[in-house]
Amino acid sequence: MNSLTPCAQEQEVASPCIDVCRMDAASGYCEGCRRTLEEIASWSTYSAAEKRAVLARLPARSLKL
Amino acid sequence: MSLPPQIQVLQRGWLSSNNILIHEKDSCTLIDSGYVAHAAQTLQLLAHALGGKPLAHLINTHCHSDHMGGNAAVQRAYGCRISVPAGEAAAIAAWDETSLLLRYTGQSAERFRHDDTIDAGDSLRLGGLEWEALAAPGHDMNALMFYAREARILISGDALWENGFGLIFPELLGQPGGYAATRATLEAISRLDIDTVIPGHGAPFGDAERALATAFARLDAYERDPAKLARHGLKVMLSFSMMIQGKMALAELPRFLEGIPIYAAINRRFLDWPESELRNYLVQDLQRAGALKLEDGWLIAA
Ligand SMILES: [Zn+2]
Repeated sequence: MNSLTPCAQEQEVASPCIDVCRMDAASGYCEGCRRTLEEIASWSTYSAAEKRAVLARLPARSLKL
Repeated sequence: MSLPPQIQVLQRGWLSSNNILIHEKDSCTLIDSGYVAHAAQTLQLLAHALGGKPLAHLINTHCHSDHMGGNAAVQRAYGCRISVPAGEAAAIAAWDETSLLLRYTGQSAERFRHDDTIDAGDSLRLGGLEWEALAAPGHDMNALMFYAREARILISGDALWENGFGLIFPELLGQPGGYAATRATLEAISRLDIDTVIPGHGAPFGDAERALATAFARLDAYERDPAKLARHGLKVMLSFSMMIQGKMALAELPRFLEGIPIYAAINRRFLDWPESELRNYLVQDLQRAGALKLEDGWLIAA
């Protein structure tokens, strides 16, 4: 995210967490990164391809705040 | 790099530490609980991950706000036993906001009661594995790491990340010995056989040797030029505060910095810059690093 963040190696897929970390009850997405609880909880077990697949889904998720 | 299935890493961000779950057949242990402002999501993630299993035990690698901020909420939700490093027990029992680096840094945490302590040299049986508690002084002089010798897994807290380690607070606070302690901890890690490091922040990683090389290089640079540690420390502190606040009017920044003692203390001890120079440096360098944006007079966490 930024150079102060303990970032993973470049070839790895960085977490989209932006430290907002609050679930929106209506949508079931995190208000910051728009992942579901399942996607956050399982992130560290995903392969790079699975992580990229999650990232690709995020922009389309509109927040109903 | 792979972890046995009974170890589940809930990878969080920077403001909240990772939450590490170690599953037994019918109960579970949690290591570190994240920042207080994220406690609701922490509880939701825990409930999701536990799937109805009780949480029996919460252990802290050290008692900084981003690792123990959710302890009280977790204790309320699960009634679990809480163990803290022996060296932190007095500060936790008295809720000493100064030595816990809360008020002094503008951070907060909810008070909790610990049930017992863990000391370096203790061993714990978690998830069918034997874990040794190892001293990890440096970032926090009382911190512990947990090492599963047979499985070659190190839970390192903030003593070693893939790309560095937590701020060397003792030196920043004018307490000598922080560099030597950090070096001793890194040397102790380099003597361990490690397949996987589960750090306090960032993804679990396999290449401990590379991380250690990065960490030693960074430590050498700080020791050669302590002002470098000071500048980095100030930026990390402000970046952390901006994550808590989200945004702040640029015009508020002078009052904000004056209200949190650690900024002036570090400036006086290491840099001795005029306040305006300190502010300009922080705003410009955090923008350059991509941690802050400045829009219409507002500082916004990026
Ligand atoms: Zn810490």
